[in-house]
Amino acid sequence: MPSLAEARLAVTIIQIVAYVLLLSKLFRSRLYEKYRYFSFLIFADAARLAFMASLKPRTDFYAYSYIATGPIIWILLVLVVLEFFHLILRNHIGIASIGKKAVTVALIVSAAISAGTLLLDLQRTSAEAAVLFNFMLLERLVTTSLLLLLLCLVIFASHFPVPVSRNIRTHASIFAVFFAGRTAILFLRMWFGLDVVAVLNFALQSLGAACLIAWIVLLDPAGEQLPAPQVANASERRLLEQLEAINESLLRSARK
Amino acid sequence: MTFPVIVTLALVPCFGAAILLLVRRLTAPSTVSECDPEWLANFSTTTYRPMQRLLSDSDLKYLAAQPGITAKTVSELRRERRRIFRAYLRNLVRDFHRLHLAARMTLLYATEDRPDLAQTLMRQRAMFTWAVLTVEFRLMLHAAGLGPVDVSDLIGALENMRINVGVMAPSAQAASY
Repeated sequence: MPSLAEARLAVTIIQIVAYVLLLSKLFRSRLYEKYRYFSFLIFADAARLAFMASLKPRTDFYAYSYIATGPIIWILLVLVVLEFFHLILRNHIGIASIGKKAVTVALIVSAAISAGTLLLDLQRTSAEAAVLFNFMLLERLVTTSLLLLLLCLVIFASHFPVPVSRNIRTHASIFAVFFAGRTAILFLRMWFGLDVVAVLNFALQSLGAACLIAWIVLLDPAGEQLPAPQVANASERRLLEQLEAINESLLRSARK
Repeated sequence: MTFPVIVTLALVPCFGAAILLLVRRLTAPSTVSECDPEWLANFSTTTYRPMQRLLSDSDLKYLAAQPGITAKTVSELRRERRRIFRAYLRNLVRDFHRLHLAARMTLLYATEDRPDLAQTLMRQRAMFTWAVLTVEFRLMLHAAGLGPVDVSDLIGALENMRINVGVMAPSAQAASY
């Protein structure tokens, strides 16, 4: 049975290959034009992984590099989630303003709930590795916020209900699993302490690799098509006319 | 295998799967079949008029005053009427959601930004939810033998929604008032 270090090396290689394959797929299919921040994220994460893999572990330089590059990835993750929401709403002018409000509310709610969960972690401070502990804490906070933000935005979109392409649906599903898995693992990492960091880091890497493979397999240009048009027959055409009349009625009512 | 690893292996896939199911369900392709135009055109709140009388005290007081009617009979009648009332309430809530969905779909496909309409819809939804909660609370009190259940706010909220959706025929409108 391979050791943990060997297994991590294997997963790191799989991840680097997967990053290259995903980036090439995004560029070949021109999906990068639509998923710009996502492409930036994949590129930055790949570069970070390759850079970190080239450094000698358990050195100060390794730790500082890891801590310094982490926030870049977090910012890109936030931008990817906002880009995802923009892609959902871009064809729906009618809910543009309320969509912007929804983003603001979702950001506040997710940050507040995530900050609330810190109360659990702060009871388990570690004096001997304060910097690492605080960084791990911040990482968990950001990941939890992103998971909640994504869920809030998906709930908003489903409320109206906004039709989404297969790619957007796939994107949301993979990101949700990615954030959920990371949140759970990072929470357990905080909970069980530094003794299990190596094992749980391996779990994090495996999750990342699995998500990359899912993106490679499931994202494709054909998935950009919206679900079949809803105006398929006379009855449904009549419905849309009716909805337009309702729209006018609602507008009149709101102006009163 | 250590305890943390076992916990991780058990917890992480379950949590991930639960979130995946939730997101897949929320992003599933929607249908407009619920907003059937025939239904929208024929909808009237008069269907729910009997609710206003179902749990009023006057019928039960009259019944209780009749010779041979026991307290047990009155109690059974109250229970039966509550059951019927709940069935009406379920339908009323369902109809409100259908009307609300029609309005949301309209907003979704609007050709200009309509924050005012979005706010109106949110306010109406909140008012309706509050009215349903109030009725549910009064139903609990009714089960304990305390007071009648007033549904005027609830039917009023449904009526407001119907007026906003603007699909009622003038004749039906006259009948409902």
